[in-house]
Amino acid sequence: MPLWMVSIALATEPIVIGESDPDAPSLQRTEVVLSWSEVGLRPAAPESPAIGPDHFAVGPRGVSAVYDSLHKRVVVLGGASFPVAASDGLAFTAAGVLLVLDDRSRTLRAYGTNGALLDSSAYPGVVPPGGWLRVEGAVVASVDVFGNGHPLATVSANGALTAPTAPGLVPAARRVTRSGSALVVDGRTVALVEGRGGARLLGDWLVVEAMDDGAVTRSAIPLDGGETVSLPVRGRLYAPAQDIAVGPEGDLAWIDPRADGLHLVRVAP
Amino acid sequence: MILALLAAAFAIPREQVLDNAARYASHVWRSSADNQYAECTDGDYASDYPPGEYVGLPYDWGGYVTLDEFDDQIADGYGAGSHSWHGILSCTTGVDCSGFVSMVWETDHYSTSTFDSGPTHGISWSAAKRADAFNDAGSHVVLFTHETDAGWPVFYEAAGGAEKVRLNASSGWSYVDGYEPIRFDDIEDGPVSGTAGAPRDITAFPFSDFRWTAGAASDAIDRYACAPETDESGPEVLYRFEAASSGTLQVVVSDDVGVDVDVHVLTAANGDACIARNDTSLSVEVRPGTVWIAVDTWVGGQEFPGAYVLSASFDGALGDLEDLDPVDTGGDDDPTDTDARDDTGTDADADTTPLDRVREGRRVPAEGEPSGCASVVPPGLGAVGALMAIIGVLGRRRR
Repeated sequence: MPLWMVSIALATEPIVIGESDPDAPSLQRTEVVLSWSEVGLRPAAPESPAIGPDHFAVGPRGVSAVYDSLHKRVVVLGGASFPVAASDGLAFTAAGVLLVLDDRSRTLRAYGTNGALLDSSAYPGVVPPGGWLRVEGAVVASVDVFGNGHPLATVSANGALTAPTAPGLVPAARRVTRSGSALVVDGRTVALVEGRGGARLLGDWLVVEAMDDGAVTRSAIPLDGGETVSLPVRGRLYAPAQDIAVGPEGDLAWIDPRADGLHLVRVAP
Repeated sequence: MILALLAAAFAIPREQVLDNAARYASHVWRSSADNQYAECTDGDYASDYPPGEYVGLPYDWGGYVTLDEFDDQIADGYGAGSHSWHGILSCTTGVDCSGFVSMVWETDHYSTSTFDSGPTHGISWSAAKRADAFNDAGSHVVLFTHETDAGWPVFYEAAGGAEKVRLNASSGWSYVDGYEPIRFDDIEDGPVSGTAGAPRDITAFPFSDFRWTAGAASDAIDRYACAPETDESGPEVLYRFEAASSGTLQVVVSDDVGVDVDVHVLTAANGDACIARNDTSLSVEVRPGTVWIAVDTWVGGQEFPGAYVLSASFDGALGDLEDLDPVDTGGDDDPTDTDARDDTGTDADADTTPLDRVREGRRVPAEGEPSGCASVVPPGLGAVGALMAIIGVLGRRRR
């Protein structure tokens, strides 16, 4: 067993993965299934993996959206679907504006959940590619692999975007480091991983991956206490580039491609 | 011993592989109306790239092209990118996952199904290093770039779903669950650039570079005139570009946990020539000439070297960089480094580097270099090398 989780509440007592702090509040779990006729899935072909929805985001009041990369459109659950040429990340603002990151044209676009394009803004050349789209207050940032934010724009409640006038960096408020087998956040050991594996912060959750001879296990640990969530491993049907999201209210969500459709699972304290 | 020397003479440094990959991911090109269709097919083809400017090569199923070849084909009206359902088309351009990895390793074109029987060997997960790859035979392959201090991985890949070559920092290890770690047979750990004699050249903007000051080849600059009281005596990495006109240079440096590096803009490769510095970001007007950027390790009781990402933009015109005379900065003197490269990171006996050929055109063999998989004689090895070549000991292509 390569991975042990240590709860925040019991930081000195390792708990085998799958067990939870019995005093932690249980999570409310909701699950919605989108059939493969609602979102596109192209099966694998020789020398070509399957293609399916690649990014998703959760917003306020339970709203969710996925990027259907096969049909080049955003599908808002229970709402509109509308064409979007490319997506390298989705995020909702607290006001429900949907932001779409397009690295290939270095453009940030803001949409209403009805599909109306509210604004678009070229983002600065100093923003490195491959970041994770995040909204904090009015600042939209691309979060790099170290957890630091590169401002793309500020966004108003009605979706107007304003590009930054000077380069900047928003240092990560919390950072995770690995010391030996210990994954440490704010000076506390949160999890232990032996061998290859690691973690990154996503909001107030620590996503932990560990590997045992090439087989990966994945979990999310709430940093402020609570139940550890076991996450599915990508790749059973296809491998989304970004399959986990945290909403503006701190709830954790993920997409899980299965034979019967795309499962969207959301857990909230 | 001779075999080791021969193998080393042909090896590609890991750093060069990653530089090649970055060029594919950051290549700026323009799609036109001519690139929307594929004339060689009657099938249902439409490019993923409407007219406009883009960053990163398109995904093209079966594609294996150099950057110059790509630019030429785009100019010639080839379709921009394709997918497996279009079939392998001779009139579209870009790279697919295995074409991309083959190209950045500077080897012949292998597929995910033929890497195993080709120029790679399997390695353990714990042994995987940057510029190795994770391969799912018959499906997909990604290039392992590095991992953070917290053990989170970053990959480069040509992804069909994303329709392009991209840096994938989001997906984590589960993205390659079930893949096989593989290593290119002709790869080596050094040498490392980033010194005054062998700086990291910036040839296009926007520019982005993941790198480490830990183990950097240069530790020559300790103080900068911009902030003489600040102790920057840790190792540094030096970049340069040629400004053909005045313009605004913007730079951001983001570092990993436990790392503290600062960024400096210089007019020469020494601390006295500093014109701007900051710990994270800066914006400065620069004049025509060679501009240097130093990412240096801050020291406050102890050194804080480590991983960072440097990103930069410049709104002026770029000129051609001049070759530098090799400068011994004391960083590239690894006695175990047996390859035939000099301090500039180039083959001492070659007119062009493999990267030059990737950057500047189709993988045209250097003069005298065979174009197929024939064995070759490394310059300077004379009869011994010829004998080795004849008996097929090398059996691999010189890049």
